[in-house]
Amino acid sequence: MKKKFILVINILIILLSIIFTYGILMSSAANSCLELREQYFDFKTKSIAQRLETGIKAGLDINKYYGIDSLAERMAMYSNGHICAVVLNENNDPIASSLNIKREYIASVISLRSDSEAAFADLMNKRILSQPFKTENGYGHIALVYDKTYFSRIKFPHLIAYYKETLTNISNLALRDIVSDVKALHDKGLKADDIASMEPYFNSMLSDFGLIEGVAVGYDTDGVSAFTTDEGSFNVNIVINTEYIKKTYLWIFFTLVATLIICIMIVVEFVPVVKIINSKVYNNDVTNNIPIFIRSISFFVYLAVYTSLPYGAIIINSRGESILGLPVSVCASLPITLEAIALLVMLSVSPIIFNKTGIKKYTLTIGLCTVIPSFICFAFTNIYTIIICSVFLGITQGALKYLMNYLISICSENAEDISINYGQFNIGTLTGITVGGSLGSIIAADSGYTSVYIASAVIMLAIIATALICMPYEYINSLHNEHSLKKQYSYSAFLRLLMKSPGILVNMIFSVGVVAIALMYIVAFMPVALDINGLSPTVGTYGFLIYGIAGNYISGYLLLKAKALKRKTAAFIAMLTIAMAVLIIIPHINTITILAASLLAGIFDGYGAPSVTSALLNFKKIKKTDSSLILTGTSIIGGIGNVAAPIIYSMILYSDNVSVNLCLLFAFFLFSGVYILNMRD
Amino acid sequence: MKNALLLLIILSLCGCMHTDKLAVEKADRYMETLQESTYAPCTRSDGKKHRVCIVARGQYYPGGMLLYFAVDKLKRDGWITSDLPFSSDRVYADDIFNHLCGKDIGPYMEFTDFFSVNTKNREAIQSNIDSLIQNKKIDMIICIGTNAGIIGKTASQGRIPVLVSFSVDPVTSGITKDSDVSGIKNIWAHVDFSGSKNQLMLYKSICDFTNLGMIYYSESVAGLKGFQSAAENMGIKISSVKMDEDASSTDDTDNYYSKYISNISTLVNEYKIDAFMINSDMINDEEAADKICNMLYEKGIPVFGQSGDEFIQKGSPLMSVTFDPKDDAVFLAITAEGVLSGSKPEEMPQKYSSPLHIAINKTAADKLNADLNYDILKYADKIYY
Repeated sequence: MKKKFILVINILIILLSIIFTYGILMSSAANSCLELREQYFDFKTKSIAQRLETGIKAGLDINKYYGIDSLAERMAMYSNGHICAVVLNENNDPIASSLNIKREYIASVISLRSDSEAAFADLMNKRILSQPFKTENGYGHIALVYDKTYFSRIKFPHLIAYYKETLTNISNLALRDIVSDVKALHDKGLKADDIASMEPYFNSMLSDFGLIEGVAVGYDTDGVSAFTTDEGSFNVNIVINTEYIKKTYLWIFFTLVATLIICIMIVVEFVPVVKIINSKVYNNDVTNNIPIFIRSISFFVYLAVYTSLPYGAIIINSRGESILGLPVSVCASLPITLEAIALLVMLSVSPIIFNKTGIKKYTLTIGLCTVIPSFICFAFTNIYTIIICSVFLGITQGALKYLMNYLISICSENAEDISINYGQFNIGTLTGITVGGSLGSIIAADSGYTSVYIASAVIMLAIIATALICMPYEYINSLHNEHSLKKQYSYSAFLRLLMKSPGILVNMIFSVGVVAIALMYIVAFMPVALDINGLSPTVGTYGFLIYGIAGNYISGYLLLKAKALKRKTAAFIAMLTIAMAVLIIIPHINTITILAASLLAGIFDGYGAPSVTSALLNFKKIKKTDSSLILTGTSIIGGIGNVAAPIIYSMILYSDNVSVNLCLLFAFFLFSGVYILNMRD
Repeated sequence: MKNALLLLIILSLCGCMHTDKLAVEKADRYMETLQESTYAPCTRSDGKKHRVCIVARGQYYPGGMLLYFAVDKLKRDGWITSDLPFSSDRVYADDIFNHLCGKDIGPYMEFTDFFSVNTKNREAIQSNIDSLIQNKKIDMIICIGTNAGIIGKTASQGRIPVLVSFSVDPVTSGITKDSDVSGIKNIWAHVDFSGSKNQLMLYKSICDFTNLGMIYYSESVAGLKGFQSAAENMGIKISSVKMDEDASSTDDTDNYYSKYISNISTLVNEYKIDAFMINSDMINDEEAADKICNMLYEKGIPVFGQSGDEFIQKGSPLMSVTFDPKDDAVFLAITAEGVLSGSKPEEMPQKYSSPLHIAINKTAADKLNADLNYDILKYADKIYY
């Protein structure tokens, strides 16, 4: 029975993984088709925007132009009922629209505030594309609101055939438009030679059309005939960019591989959970399950949290939302900043809450603090719900950290047990961050950034259900009674220590504080850097994976080797690692540099952070001090570092001179390493 | 714990209820404007059709286009229910009228009379219109052009609505008192003071100049005030010479064009112009236009047209920019619908800036190394060589 039970659960998990992978594959292919159509929408709206700009330079007043309505109708005509169009003037007032426009679409377009750049935003199953055009006093916008689901529909198993069909369809549409332009020029009197000389102009119109490499016009060109004269047929030909198609296939493949890796990691982490469930069901001895439990719960909770946590900044930035008159770039860093503050606060109040509620309710609360805000954030995505959700994700993490610390302390017989259990917690945390972040990237790439919140909520719901089944409450409560005296964090004691020995504070800042800033690279720097530089979320998937693999496996090897080094030297090398991660991305932020930096940051996470902490804890003064105070101190300083990190990274990424600011960051990490090397007792 | 969860839910709901109020208000206001109906077709209060007469230059292509698109808009809005037996290809106003006059075009209106304007028959037209009004045979007059507008206003004396379109400066010419609304009973005129500014802006972007020469006979027909005002803001000087007559009011064309060319020489040699504009009604001969343009091109001086692209087609001036008759016509037609529905012409808004109708001579542009970018070529309505 036992073996059958385990087998059935494992098969179920594998089946779920296969279904999920299939879903991601379908979604990737569908999104590739959508991307093609969006390239055409972008091209079309740009042409219209260009024409409006020329008209405005020639005195056209768009606020009183009777032809603007028919312009909006023409844009919507591409697909019956699945596209609406609206035109806004420079004051963000709607001045024209297609007949099928809805009030809520107009309000969403106005809220977008995309200014001088083209912008995309998601509105449930619709997507908005807003294209600016320059007026005398600012920028007006032409916006399309289209049905994502309709334009990304795809049929399995003929994915490739359907994608090719979409390719042909879109390239034919673009060709038709250029032919129409060429014919119009001929009809208004322009000679064929002069039209042929406009070939570079037509190519410039297609410069953002990734699918199309270029266009050729002329009598000696093959293709579709635009008009005929005595000299023959004047043709227009479009050259498809085969590299783009190959790249698309490659990205679908990479997404599939990443999904498989994530599924394997989840299955591997879930297998021990099955054993725990089995033990619970069959009332077996649970004492050996605690380390597994610690690792599993930390893995799954961090998976749930990190599926959505990194992406609030991207949503806020893309929508141009702000609060309290703050710049958008500052507002984008608020979710992670407030999450870090909430984590810190929760760490200090957790003991009080835990003692009052007991472990079962406490665990349930951890889960609900993620589930409810995530559901609400998915349903009503705006800057307020994103911030609130991030705060509660911080509360979740703070509460979890306390719970893990508590379990480790009551379930560990000796120092070796503590070390093993903390090791399991760290592995679970890092793997959870890796898988969660990667999963979030995949979901964001396939279904839009707002979908990550529903994923977080659903995953956490599953965790709550599993935890309620698996948690060995009776055993833990029995241990609690044995170890009733627990050391509490004492902030006032820590402050008194600092007043006696201020040097400790400086040492902590340049070690633990800097480490905390560096550790936030993966959540506060990488996703935003990808978004700002127009890189695909799939790169983020691999960034998280590489980070996690480097942190778990490569750093483990390095930690072994580092035992031979002095602690300060090991810590210096650690800081050098993270400094090198910054150095790599200074010249250019692209796929290769981001992944390389993620590799180094992952090594830092697994090897560097323990090395630096170890160097700090080796100081005589600190060794003499009460360990609970030191833990308090590292938590506070680390927490402050976590809070400061998103602000620092935002200021760097949104600054006018990113490279210069990255140089300063590089210098800061390097300086910290040198400082640690020269730290004196 | 319950309190904490309650707080969680309340905070989250506060976030949900946050909406961009301004965006929603703007969307609501816009949707309301869409609900407002245009003027529904109606008959006179006695159930009979509205009778409309037209005063315009008969053989004037822009005027014909304006009338065509106005009639087209009336048809689209249901005021005219029959099919229109002509297209927009180079129609003249009197041709259109000949198709419409006496025909049953629906239960709401009919076109009864057409008066073709020239400088010699103004009084006769005024007298005819006066007679029609006294005998209650017309209900509204539509005038195309400044002269037509002056005639219509004088003849009507405020007794029936007069709508004037295609006048360069109806305020200076005395058709209306003000630009926003006319201030004169039963008078409405389309006012567009930005046209001059837009023309100069466009011409200057093609060929940079600082001193534009003009020869005119009537300040209001030439839109001189408008050009001078726009030029001042753009740092352009207007150098002008007034003549006693226009091209159509003289029989001695040789003498007329001699004087005209002599005035050009004055502008070039004494006033040092670096661009020239052929003003409305001053040239009606292709050969003369060609001669004048080539004379100026040899000196590297670009020639623009104030309105109409007849001479552009023949290969003379570099560019002509006129008001897009399509859009002006829609504005005229909507105003006519409002007046026929009972609105007072003197209270109807007059200001409307229509997009420009651009005609370019590519040969002239190449001769002068004009900066014709591809956006302008795509935007232009006609390109000639």
